[in-house]
Amino acid sequence: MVSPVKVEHINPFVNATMETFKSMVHTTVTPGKIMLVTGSHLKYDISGIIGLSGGAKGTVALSFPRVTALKVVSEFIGEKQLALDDTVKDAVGELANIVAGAAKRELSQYKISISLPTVIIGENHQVQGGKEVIPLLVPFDTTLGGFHLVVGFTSES
Amino acid sequence: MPISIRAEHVNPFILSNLETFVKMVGIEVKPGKPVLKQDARLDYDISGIIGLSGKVIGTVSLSFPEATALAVCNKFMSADLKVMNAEILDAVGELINIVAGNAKKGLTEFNIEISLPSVVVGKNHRIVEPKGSVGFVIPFASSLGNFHMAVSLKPV
Repeated sequence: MVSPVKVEHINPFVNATMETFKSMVHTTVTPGKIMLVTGSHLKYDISGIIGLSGGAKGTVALSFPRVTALKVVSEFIGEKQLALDDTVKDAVGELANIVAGAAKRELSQYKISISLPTVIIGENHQVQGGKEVIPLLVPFDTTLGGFHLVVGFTSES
Repeated sequence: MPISIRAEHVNPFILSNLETFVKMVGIEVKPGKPVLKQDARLDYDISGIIGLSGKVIGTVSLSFPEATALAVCNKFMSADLKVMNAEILDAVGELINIVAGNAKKGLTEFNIEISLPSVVVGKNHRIVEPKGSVGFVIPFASSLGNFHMAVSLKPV
């Protein structure tokens, strides 16, 4: 039986997202109710995904609808963005990288290393996990629009 | 001295993919010529992605059109599924997990550790590699259809 990610493992990622958006995007983000990612039909236009390995294994994704991504990146880099071009793709990968890096510091007991980010572009895509662990999804609300954090994490290997 | 990424570092991933498909799926797959990822404009329906870290950081992914994913996963699981459901997603995640796990054995000098897989589903999605990495796309042909492997590596 596959178990979901443990609550004590998700909190560092939630905190990292709030901190990153506050310091880098100058926006207060409010986390909503945490959900299981199980064949749900939550769809996005752009996602930044990063892998975690070391004493624990995981994956972190930040997924946005197009309009939210453009507004978030405009704030992040201080320049208005009108299209999902290379600048926006790099910025979304960089945001996932910063969030993973901040969460890693709170989970230092696992000696986590983070991979390169991967950015997915495609209308209405979904991001899910493999069969080791059921990822958790945290919806975030902001003045720039809503977005989702999806975290898979397991310290049992 | 910093590690430089060369095309030969992609070979363990290609070999691992050949082996995985023979052993786990029961088919032979034929690699085409690797192309630099920035030149490849390819759209997919389902991708399994895994992060790599160690003396290099990177990602490896397998991306399929829907029909190929169904045919490959049905053969892999001895099933007869007609639509992309949770089992197909799990199977794609498992395939990339095996491919990445075996490939790291061919790259011991990099001390690579692998992450959990992520599976992306969406008509015509595209995978973009980050700035500063060296990315290759390797096309594979098989009797069940064609698919692509992408490998991006960057020295730490």
